[in-house]
Amino acid sequence: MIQVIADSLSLGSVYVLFSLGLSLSWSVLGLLNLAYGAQFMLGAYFAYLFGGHVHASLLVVLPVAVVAVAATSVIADYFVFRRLRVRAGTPVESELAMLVASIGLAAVAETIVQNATAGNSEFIPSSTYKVRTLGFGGSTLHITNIQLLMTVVAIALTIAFAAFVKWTRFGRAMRAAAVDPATCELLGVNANRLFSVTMAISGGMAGLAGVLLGIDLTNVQFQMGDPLVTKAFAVIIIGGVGSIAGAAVGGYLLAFAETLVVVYGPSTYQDAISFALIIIVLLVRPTGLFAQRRWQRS
Amino acid sequence: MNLAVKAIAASHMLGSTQIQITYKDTQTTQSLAVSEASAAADTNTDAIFGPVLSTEAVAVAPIVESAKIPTIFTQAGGPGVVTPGGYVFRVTAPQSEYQPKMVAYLKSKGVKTVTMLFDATVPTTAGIAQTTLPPLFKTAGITIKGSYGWSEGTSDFASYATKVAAENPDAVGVEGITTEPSPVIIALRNAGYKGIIFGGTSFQAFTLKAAGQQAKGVVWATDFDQNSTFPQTAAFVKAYEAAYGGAAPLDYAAEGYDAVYLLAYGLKDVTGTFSRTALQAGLAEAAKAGFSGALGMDVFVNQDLTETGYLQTYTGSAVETVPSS
Repeated sequence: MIQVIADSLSLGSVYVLFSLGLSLSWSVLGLLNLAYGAQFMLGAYFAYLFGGHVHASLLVVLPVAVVAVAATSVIADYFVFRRLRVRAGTPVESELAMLVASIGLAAVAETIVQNATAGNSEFIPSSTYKVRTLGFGGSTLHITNIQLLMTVVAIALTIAFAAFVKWTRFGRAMRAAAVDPATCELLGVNANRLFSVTMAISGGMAGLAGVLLGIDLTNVQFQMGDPLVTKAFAVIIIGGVGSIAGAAVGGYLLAFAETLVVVYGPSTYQDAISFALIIIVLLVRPTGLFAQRRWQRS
Repeated sequence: MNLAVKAIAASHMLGSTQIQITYKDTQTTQSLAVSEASAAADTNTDAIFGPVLSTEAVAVAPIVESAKIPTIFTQAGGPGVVTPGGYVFRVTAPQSEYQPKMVAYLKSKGVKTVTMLFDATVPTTAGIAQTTLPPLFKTAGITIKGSYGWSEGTSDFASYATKVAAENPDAVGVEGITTEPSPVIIALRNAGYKGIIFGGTSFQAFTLKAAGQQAKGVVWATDFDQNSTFPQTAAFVKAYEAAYGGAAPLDYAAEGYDAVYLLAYGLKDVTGTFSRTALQAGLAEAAKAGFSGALGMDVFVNQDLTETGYLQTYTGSAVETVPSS
């Protein structure tokens, strides 16, 4: 049972790492960023290229990937999403336009990588980043050092993000802009700057998740982010859009459900049973477990 | 395939006739494969080399049959692709043909129990795990302890490994696509599983490299032995390595090479005025006769390649052929 819990925590950390950045852009900018999987894939390719060819250590690869993918996110916001936000008549139109644009950006990024790699998978040998198995409790518990790192990073980032959004001035501005950007502007908040920083954080998270999960998976491929985007939507919806803690709880909940189905149930029904649980959660709490409360003046 | 085209031209096998191949990317999408095949059938294309996925091939096959355009598939090992006497040929023996060799090997190693792990979203891998192997295991007196499928895109195999390690079978079969063997093998070894791990054609030097020493000793059945001393195979390997910077050819390359040669032999056997129908007859004749190719002696039954296959193992850094017992 201890191993099952460890497996669930490890898988949940993958989902949490992937979902945090997506959740942030969704809640603050109303951007359901389907290009997030492609950004994640770019992060993984940094792990492959820098580790496999330049032999750089993880301490070098991580910041480089985070900054580089964050930059792609800011560039996408400046040249595409910001313009769509400005030109759209209503928030709904803006969200739809950005959603479609993000599909386009994902296709562009994935096609470039697909052509550059001839569609092949590239592999990251365990030895590249010295991935090894750690045994605890007389070998009753096995976990790799990279899975342990992912778990620690996922939990630490969740706490840090939640604290940042709740208690810092910038975090409060983010929450306010998520509700009413126009009023925020009137109160002196530079909304464009705030959105750029949000996109940078979101992109950086995608880069971070890409590096760590690429190493854990041992391979990178141009469409590797796509299945995780679906899982991340589920995680965010379970937790409640806009809730950092919700994304974390949603990620670990989905992971526990999937692991339990594999270990104790019919594994081929893993997705079906897991998503059935999500439907049940939504039927009970349609806005998710930790939905943000919003007030509206009449 | 380009290598075969050049070799055929250099040997003047077809006299002044040149094979020209136009490549179309089906993007592993069934609908795109169908539209590309339909488009090719409507042009002056003489033959098609079909898409490699079974899901695409089963959709393309009826279209090329009704359009009467000779089509040669590689991979696409699922049922319902080749119709005897029709316009479709296949230059990859279905994996079901060389799995008996794998089961015989397991039996020789004293294996009594197995657990199967497989990609449930790919018809070929699911078919081998759920349909092909169980009766072979039963005949060999090997008991299946468990059979567990995952969905394509699964990002963590630890829970599967935990379950298998608890069952502790004598051997574990891993049937997945190319990106899956290494993470599954790593997860199994990390979970403390020490038994035999065996697999299918997704086990290759490049796919196992990621697992490194943890993949040492894994065994798999394949239709291509790059270490073979068969003259045509050795010549192909040498030519391939020379053409592609020393890279070792995979089974996909050998199958593609032989597919082009089947077309060439079919063209040679065309009698009378050239047409697609005449080419189909020529290909049928060439398949019936068989030929020596990169895969070895290519023998066809009902226009489908048949082969008993080879067993290979990974040393942690290279692929070695398991001697036939």
